Amino acid sequence: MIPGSIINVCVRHLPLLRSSCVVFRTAQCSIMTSAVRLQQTPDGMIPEMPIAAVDTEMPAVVRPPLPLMTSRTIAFPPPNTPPKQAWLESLATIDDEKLGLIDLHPDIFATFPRIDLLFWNTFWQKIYKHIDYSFVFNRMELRGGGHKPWAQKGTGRARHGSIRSPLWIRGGKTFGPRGPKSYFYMLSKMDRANGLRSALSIKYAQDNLHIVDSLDLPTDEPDYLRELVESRGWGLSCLFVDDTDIVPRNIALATDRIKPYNVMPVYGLNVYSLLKHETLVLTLPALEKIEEKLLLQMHKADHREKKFSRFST
Amino acid sequence: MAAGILSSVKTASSNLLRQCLNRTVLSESVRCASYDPYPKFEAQTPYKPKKCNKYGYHNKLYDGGILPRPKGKYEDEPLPLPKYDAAKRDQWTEKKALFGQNDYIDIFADGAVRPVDLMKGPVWLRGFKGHEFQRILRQLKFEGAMLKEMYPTRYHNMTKRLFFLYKRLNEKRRHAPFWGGPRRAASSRIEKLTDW
Repeated sequence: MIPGSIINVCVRHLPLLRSSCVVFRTAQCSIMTSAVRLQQTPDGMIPEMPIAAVDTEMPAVVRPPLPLMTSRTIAFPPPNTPPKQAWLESLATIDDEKLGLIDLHPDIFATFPRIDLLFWNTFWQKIYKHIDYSFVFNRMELRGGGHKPWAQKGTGRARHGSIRSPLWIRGGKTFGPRGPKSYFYMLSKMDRANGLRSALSIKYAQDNLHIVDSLDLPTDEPDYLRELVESRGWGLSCLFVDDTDIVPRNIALATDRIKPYNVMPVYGLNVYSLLKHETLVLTLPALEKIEEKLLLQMHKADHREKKFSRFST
Repeated sequence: MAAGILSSVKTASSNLLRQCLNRTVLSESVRCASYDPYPKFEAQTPYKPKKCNKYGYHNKLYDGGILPRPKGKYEDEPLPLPKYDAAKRDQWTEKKALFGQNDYIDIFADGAVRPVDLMKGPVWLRGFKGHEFQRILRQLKFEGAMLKEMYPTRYHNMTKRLFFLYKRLNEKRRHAPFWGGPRRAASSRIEKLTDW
């Protein structure tokens, strides 16, 4: 009769649910009462202390002994270049606790930084979706100006045929800006991938790249995050990148109140943001995904790229 | 009889005087009321009261007397404007901080979405670049029928510009013959265009 397993599951995950879920804090009581009801005997009697032993306090950080990891398998390993290394860190505590050491792919985090491609990438990002809306009427599009303002001869004035001539005040413009104009063009995928690799390599070489296990923070206060970043010397601006586009609640609230700290999913990563922010903080799944996608661009069988077309992918 | 006439004249004149006075007073009050469109106190009139057609309207203009003036240094000279410093602009507004997001979505996502799909602007300019002739042609292709129906002047200007540019591109350039390009028979511009 008593679905003890359900209650056990509920009880076991109560602290976890409480910390991660917003709604659960208010709904906790109702779940407790429903758990009590579930434990009722057929006579309607409530057993003594059904879930009195539940510890509602935040559990201490329990993890296996450090280091968590000391290496990582990388795809397409280059034959003669050893992999680069980085610390695996954590945002759970302010003091910089190293959880382990991981390998980074040298083709992505230690390539030659092509400064020219960085320029062309940022230039392309600024220009490709810019639309110039400025428009000025020419003499044809203005109203009036059909009849000759005064006779050709005999008045002593200069000869004119239309009051909308470009010589006149309130006349038309001859080579003015014409209508909404697009500056669209596509930079090739190889150049864009190369620009990303260059930017990531620069971040790594300047010690501005940090890998964390997850973006979970113990509190949602922005002061905690600010203190963490300042104590670790991560600079004035930070870009946190996660694999998923639904970030944990605490970091979302903390970064919302600090303007230079921003959160982005992997698919939102770009060269301009990499260069604008001083420090790049990647989670481990985000690192895996970035490496996978950039290596795919480098090693795909059909490396030849077709000209951009609006109708084909 | 005379006295009666006199008295009647008197009464008539007094009535006339009263009427005139009334009229002047009323006209004054009406004139005053006409100057103040939202009077605080309504002038008394024997006529039909004005229709309350602005009920609930609050006058947005300040009518609390003279405006406050600064005392001391700036009593007679204009107040100084704050200096605009371009270097002090906020460089971390949301738009600037997240500029360029999703520009590499075709590399990092599965390839179904491209940056072109996330562009904003006129439909005929998304993922398109061309000179003025090509732009007008493409705009007419997209919304020519609507323009012809709803904005005939704009449509007329566009088609006129289109034919002007056509002639400039094809008949007035270096590779055109000295006497101009091929001449076609004169025909109506509007009728010649296809039905968009």
